Amino acid sequence: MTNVALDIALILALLLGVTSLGTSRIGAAIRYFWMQAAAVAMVPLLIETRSGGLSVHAWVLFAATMVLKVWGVPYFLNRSVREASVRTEVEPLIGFGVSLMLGAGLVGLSFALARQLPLPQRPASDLLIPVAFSLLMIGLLLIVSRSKAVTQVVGYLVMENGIFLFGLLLIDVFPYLIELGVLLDLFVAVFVMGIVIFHINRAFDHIDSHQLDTLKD
Amino acid sequence: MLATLLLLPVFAAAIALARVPDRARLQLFRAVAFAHLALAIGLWNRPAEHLFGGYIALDAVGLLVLMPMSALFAGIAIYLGGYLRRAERRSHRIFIAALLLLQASLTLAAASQHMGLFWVALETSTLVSAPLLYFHHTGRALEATWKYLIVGSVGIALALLGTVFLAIAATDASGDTTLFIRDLTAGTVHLAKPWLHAAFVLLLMGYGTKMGLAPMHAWKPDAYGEAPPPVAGLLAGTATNCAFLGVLRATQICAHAGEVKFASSLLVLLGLVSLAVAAIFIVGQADYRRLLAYASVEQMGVLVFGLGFGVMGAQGSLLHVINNALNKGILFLAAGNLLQLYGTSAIAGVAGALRRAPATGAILIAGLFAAVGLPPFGLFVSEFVILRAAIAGGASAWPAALYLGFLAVIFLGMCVAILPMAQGESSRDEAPLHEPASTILPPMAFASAALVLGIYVPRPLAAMIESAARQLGGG
Repeated sequence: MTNVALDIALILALLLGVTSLGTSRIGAAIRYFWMQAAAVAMVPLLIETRSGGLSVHAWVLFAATMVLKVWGVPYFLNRSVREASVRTEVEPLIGFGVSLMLGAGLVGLSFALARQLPLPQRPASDLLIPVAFSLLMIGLLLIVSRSKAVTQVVGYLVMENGIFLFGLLLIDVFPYLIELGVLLDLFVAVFVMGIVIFHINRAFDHIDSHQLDTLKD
Repeated sequence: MLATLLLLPVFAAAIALARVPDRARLQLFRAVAFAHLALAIGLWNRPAEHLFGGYIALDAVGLLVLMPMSALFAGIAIYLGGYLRRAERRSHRIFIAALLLLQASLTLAAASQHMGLFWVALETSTLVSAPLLYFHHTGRALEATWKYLIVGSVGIALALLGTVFLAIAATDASGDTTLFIRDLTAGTVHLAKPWLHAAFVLLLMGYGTKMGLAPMHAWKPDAYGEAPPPVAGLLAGTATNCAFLGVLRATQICAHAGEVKFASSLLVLLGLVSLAVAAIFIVGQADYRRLLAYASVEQMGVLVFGLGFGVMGAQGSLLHVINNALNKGILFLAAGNLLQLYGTSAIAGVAGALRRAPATGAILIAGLFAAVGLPPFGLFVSEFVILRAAIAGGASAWPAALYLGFLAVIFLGMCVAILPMAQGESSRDEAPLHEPASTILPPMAFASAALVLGIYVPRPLAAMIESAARQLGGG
């Protein structure tokens, strides 16, 4: 039963990742991100219920992810979008349809890649590693293929969700002060990027990072 | 003592953020920087202190990164007095607080004995340097800050993934794992090879991005070209050295797992690529601040190249860490003076510095000679040790030959660009420009230190480098 729930959470995270490749609205991309973060936040709890009792560690991780990623980060991103009054992603370097197809290809690649790296111990779900790799690559694709600064931040966050899933392989043994440090850094990163986006908007009247190209050799 | 070293800048940052006059903020930063230096020197002789359950301790490698960092902060704290007085008026509240937090996070990175904690510290240093880069609030500075943040964050995310992979590699049969450096290098933990290889590649890419190794250096010329020069010098002389510490630790772990060949070949390759890219962009460069950024790409290339050649190469690299910090202290501060005196960062816009601003001109020449590795400056010694290690330890002569070739091209490129700035005829009026003592003395002190290190390496320093290199070499 809980195995099924775990797989559903992972598949949901994966689908939301792929979907965010196909949307042109920045608000939607942010919404897909926080829904994905919520699905990912459930994973530590589901892993632990599978093996018996729930530890404080899993709860702390869940609560911190919910507060910082599902509430805090989207709050700052939405505020930057409002202040910068941008709604849609125009002229991405790679079209939305092509991005979706590339995304599907990356998911396939992730499943192949996961087979190449045998784990010392069998993970809670066979989907964990492939989904983690997929989110990592989808995030990278978003960063390189989108022109709005906010969408690039969303790509960075999707990528970070993938890394978080990798970290869950070690949930019993990883010191959670370090995990909290990582989460906090991520939150501050988005905060700082939000401020920079605000300044970009004020200075250039747009947040198109591809027009930030005065500096070159 | 170690706890004081870590917490002092944090408390000071909190004070700087409070409602105090700007002048007090600068004096506070100066006081903290010198107290930090004094504490760091005090720790030199008793590095055995552990904090926080062994997460934080200064070993030989950490001390070698910490010392020049602390010295550079102190020098730049003095320098900022003269620099900020002539810069445009703007509150120093965020600027000084960010400087102090940068110092705190880099100190934590140098003292981290846990790869996860090290990552957190280094990521924090990236975030707190964003307001430093954007100090002048120009459009170009904004563009540079954005690139620094997004490229740096993605790079450091890869390093995080590498850290997780390292923990997976170290998982034993009972499901336990560790990221403590002493465990990973004790030879008691079995590291799964495929995960270790993936972890090393990711750590090298990730921390290499923070170092500004080519081809992950895209942010560097922009950031150093637009940041206030003392900030650029500080980042180039301290943050990059700390990121190099991450590469050092990863290499150390690989060496102890018997994978030194795998690590070395990647380090040498990345070092040579960085030297090549630096050579290409230094020749014909029109902007002296970007020129110095590419010179930093070069120095980072030398660091990882040296690390690829066993214990002797590692010794050269560790000495180079100190030289790199001193060198940035000379050149970027000279560049800061030139920028304020001439009002341009175009190489063509600066001429006759030796006549119009004799002290800055002399510092510029000294910095040039020190940067290109002319004897008797310290850089010559470290680059030479690395060359000897490459010749002695390399299976083929190619790496050493390419290394020497690229350094020669960079030597010529730097001289052609900088010598006319110092000499040459100034087209505008020849009235000597005013140079405040606070903007002259720090780079002079760094130049003297670089000179001393070139003539002889003090006994305690040599011993520390030797023990650190042995610690890295796996023997």
